[in-house]
Amino acid sequence: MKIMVILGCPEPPVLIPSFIYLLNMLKNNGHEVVVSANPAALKLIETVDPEKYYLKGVGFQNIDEGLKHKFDVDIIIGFAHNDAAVNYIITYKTVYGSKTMALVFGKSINEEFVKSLEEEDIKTFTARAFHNPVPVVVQLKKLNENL
Amino acid sequence: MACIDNYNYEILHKGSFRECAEYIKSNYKNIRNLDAGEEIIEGVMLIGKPPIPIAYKGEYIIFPYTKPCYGSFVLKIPLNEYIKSEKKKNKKNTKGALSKLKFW
Repeated sequence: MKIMVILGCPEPPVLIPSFIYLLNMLKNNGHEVVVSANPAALKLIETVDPEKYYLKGVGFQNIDEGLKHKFDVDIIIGFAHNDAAVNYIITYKTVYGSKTMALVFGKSINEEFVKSLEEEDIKTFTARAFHNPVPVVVQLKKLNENL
Repeated sequence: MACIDNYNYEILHKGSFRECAEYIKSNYKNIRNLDAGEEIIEGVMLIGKPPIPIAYKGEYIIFPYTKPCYGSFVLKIPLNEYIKSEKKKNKKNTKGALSKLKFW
């Protein structure tokens, strides 16, 4: 399947390592991956994998560009820790019309984010995590089972 | 590609997307509801939970604007700049859109 991952502001330390973990899991399962992210998040991703061990063959684009030039995607997965990320995920679902899932994470779980996403028929997972990636990894494994 | 800095915008309100949408609905009468992902002005997409309220008042257009790291704002831009960007948008659409997707 062709899977698009959406990353917003990369401020939480768990975000980029969790993305690499998810990317590795998706590629190992034979999925094609594309990432739509803000420019700082893209730079961080490139920096953690200078030899492109994980990134080889992965498509990438600026989070705003991806809304202007639509292509076929089977599933969208979004990481959300702030209001803007929630709204970008909802917007991507509206534009692409694909099945969408989200992981809401942070120092505490914002129930309003979860409600907003679920009202748009986006299956939502939650993890209380900011520095420690383990709760996110547990939820990503659950998310993977729902693909 | 144009970005919001190319326009003479004024920030009227800052908050969550829901608060920004409420601000527009409660302060303006002439409102149109648009879908998420629509290009409101050249290079600027509407981000948020649809229906997204856009207001027109006098010589201005008022809409919610979201940045990944900074959250949502209510912006006001002059209608003449909006009309100029509409013309550019229409011209651009006739050329067709190619994906800007790159690969590592």
